[in-house]
Amino acid sequence: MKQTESRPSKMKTSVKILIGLVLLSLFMATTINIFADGTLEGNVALIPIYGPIMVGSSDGLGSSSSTSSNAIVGFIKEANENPSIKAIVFDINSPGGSAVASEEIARAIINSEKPTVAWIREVGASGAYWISSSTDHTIASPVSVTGSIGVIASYLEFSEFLDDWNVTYRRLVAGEFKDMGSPLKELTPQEEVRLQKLIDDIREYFIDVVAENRGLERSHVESLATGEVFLGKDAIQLGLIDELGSQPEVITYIENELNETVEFVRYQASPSLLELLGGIIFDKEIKLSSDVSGGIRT
Amino acid sequence: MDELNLPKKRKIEVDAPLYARVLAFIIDLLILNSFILFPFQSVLVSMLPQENISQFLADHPVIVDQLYYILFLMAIIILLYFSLMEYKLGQTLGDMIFKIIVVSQDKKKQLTFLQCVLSNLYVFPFFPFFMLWVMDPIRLYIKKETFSNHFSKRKVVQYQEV
Repeated sequence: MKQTESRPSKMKTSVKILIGLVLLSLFMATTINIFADGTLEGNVALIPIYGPIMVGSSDGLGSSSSTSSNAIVGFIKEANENPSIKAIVFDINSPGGSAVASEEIARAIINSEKPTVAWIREVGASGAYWISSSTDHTIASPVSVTGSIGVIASYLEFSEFLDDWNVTYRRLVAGEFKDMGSPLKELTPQEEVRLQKLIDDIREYFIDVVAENRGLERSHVESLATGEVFLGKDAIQLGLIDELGSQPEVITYIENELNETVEFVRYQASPSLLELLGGIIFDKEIKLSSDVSGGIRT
Repeated sequence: MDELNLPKKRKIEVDAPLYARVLAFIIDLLILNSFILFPFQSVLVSMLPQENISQFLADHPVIVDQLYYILFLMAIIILLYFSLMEYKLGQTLGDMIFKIIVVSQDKKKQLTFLQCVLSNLYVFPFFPFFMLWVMDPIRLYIKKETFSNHFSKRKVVQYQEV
């Protein structure tokens, strides 16, 4: 042990050792990546849709707390372009989310050339149900929660709170309805009518999509579109899903469709090092006005 | 003016306090995790799902084998960090902060690389080495010396001036 080494000399030695170890680590990890790449081959893409559905990136820290429509649409494209992938299964455990994000994923599924299956786990409601209705076959547990065909844009209004604290909202807008839905001011009756019309229109679109995807009468879907949720055992009676079951039923369905054994290959977003180390990345939902704090969600 | 003929300060060797050794070890782990082992993080993240990992591993035994190989390689890198730093400098980066030094129990001999390797074998997450994760802290608390250091004939000290 070199106790007599000077501090600069110690630092030099430390740095050399650290650099050497980092290079060795990079070499080993790269080698593993090269040999591990081919080990997860399969013929059925398994794409997880977990948590709230948003347009942008998922949360970081390796957590699965939200789903990005950008990522899912990318995975669907990848799966479609991969000749070894014969079918796509969506592993869904989501309460819904952004209307736009849900619609983007649903559109990508409809345009997919390969058989698609939605496998609803604990929850596949609202926007997640929108997505699952776009697939060729939907399987859920008898006690999965699904449905919730409707739209929500509720938010907290702080206008009276500000009044209590003598805080004044200075309204400077060009365009009468520019700050419509701002939590800092009271929603006027005219604004409420307009916002309500917007979410009613989205609901109508949602109903049209589900009726077309599921081959149901529009009036029947409309009667279900109260926003209420249904258990799987009721949803199948209502025509909202195709089959009760879980993974074995998913595998059986696909094997019957493809006439070959199912080997799943999981498609998922790999958080970058910065996402793992740097904390949660927040994404903005697309909002109709810059002041609508909650966004519009299905 | 005559120089004062004061006795020179002596350095005495004392056992490094437990809190310093623990904190130094934690700092070393943070350094390893942040700066040295980061290439493995992306490998592990790409291999494993974000939920239901235990179910996934149960369904894919091939992946379990691959994970063991990866953990083995990571353990080698951790072992090299501790062994090389202690062999070359007598201390890791965490030890430097708390002025901890690793020396041979035989004061006449320098610490050898083999001694450093033997005392750090606990980093391997396999039998029998992982038993040291329990045995070493217990022995350290009771006898102020771990099994690892006892068998590799080393001690962990601080030098204090008196």
